[in-house]
Amino acid sequence: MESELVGSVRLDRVVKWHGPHCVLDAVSLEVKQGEFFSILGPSGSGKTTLLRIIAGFDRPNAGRVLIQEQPLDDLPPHQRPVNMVFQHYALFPHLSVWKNVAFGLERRRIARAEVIRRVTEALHMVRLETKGNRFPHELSGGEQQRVALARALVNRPQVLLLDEPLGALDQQLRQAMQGELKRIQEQVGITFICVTHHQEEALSMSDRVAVIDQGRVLQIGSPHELYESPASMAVAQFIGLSNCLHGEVVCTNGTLCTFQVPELGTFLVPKPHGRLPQGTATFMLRPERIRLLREPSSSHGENMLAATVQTVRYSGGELQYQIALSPHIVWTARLPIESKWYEPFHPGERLTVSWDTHEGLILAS
Amino acid sequence: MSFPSWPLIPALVVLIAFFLVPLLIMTGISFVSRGPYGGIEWILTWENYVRLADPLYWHIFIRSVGLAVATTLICVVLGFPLAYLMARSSPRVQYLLICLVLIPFWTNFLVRTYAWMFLLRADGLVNTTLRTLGLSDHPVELLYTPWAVLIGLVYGYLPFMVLPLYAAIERIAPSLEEAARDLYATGWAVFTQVVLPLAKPGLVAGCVLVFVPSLGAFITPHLLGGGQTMMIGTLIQHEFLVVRDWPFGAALSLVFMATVLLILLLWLKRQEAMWRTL
Repeated sequence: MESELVGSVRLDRVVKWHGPHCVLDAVSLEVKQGEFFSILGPSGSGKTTLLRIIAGFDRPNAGRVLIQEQPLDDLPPHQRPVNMVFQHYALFPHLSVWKNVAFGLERRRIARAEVIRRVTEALHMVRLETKGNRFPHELSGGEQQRVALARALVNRPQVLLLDEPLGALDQQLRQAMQGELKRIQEQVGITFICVTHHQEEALSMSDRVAVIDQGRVLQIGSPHELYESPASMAVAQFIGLSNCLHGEVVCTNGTLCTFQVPELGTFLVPKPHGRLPQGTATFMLRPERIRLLREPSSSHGENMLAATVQTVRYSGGELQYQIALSPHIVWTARLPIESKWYEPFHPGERLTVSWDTHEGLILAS
Repeated sequence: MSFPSWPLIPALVVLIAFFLVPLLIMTGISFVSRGPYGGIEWILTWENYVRLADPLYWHIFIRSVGLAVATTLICVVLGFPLAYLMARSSPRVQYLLICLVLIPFWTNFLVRTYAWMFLLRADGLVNTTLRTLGLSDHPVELLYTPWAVLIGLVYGYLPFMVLPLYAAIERIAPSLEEAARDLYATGWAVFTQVVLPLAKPGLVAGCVLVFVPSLGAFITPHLLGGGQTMMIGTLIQHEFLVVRDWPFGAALSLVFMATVLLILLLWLKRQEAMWRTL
């Protein structure tokens, strides 16, 4: 077996029905060896079902799951080279931390000395060396999360499945654990497949992300690709904030096209990749790419639109404005506060919205 | 403690009036003599307790304990799968199964035991079926044997095993079983390593609820065992109502009660130790 296949996962047109409801609609994707791959989608998008099919808890109605190019078909969960970190950790409440972590090794009748060595190593990796004698209910949420991680990783699976691994943690702990998860993944070099509905989590940890909704894969790409060139409005809206405008796109030669919005006039936009959306299209622009100017200035390579501030939201490091381009079109702008003498705009203030003509993206309506 | 204690008074009064006082009266009676015509003569004596040393009573006691243990074990074996099925069914099926378990309680226990007599007797349903199927050409003796008592006890006390077990298993998150399966546990290992230890409180409660009343059962051995199978319950009833030897009946009851308490305490202690080493 070629080494780059170890821990590679391939889903081939996986279909799953729950009664009359199609949960997964011919989902195909490939996860490379040693990759941190996230499956991002709203609740009910079928992402947890996908993970359960890889783990072997659910059977697909059609399609196949292959690990290392070997179809898993009818293998029960305990015979698959994968382990899972469950959504609420599912730690055994009657067993100590040590016994929880040793559970998988003991079921496989691994020699006692080896069990001790590997459990010690796993607890060290998640920085819980001193808590082996505790019981799950005596641990904090973050510690329980790490026990769940150690309990799965101690078995050295080819693939680790994580179901909303940070979902039960509060915001601060969640951010700390994102770094921790990434560190551990790089240390063990195992393929991680992580299901989450939290876009920031997916973007900050993953090598690649699959966005799924209603049982279909919308787009697979690196966090940068998903954020900068979403394939559709649905992806753009699911990842990060986005402003959009509906209008007519007209392209001639060169790298820029003109975009016409009846209420606002004409401005320049980057030429869309591949097939041109004919006629009406949607222009998408990220809120932090917008500049707000007190006076209109005629600098080259910038689009300018007049607008009115509606609301201002202060959050320490940045200001978030709601600005009305017209009575019906309201955009969001996020501006970092670069100095404490910065003078914010006030609600009702007239200003000019400006952005680089190469920013933004044309998407099919 | 900060909460008022006066709401406890009614329960305390009931317990003193209907439990403690009768117990003291019985203790008193157990130390006096029987009158010539069944009454009580106020002469202090150890005689009632000395009589208990008779091996006859020991046999009855051992037979009762044996039947109660067998009843408890059979109830565990029958009750656990049922309780598990109930706990893991959809809410609708759960409701239906609980109803099925509870429906027998709508009929008087005595009536249900009589129904068993009809089923088990020589020309009852069981024997008729055996004969129709050609499995037996002469009636199998079922009624008035220890087997009939065992069947009756299991039938009567099974719900007391199923309900606490169901409550305990229902609280075990199904994800724990999935986690165990994910960690290489076979079906049997999931049961012994996860389900059983976590269902322990329900199992212990169920065993106590089945063992204690089976040991002291009176109606079932009386009706299904006939005169053949004397058990502690029937013996005490016999002493009080037939022989009219109240002091000896009282002594029997007290020793029986003390023994049950002792058995339970020892058993629970051992359970505790056993689970700790697991």
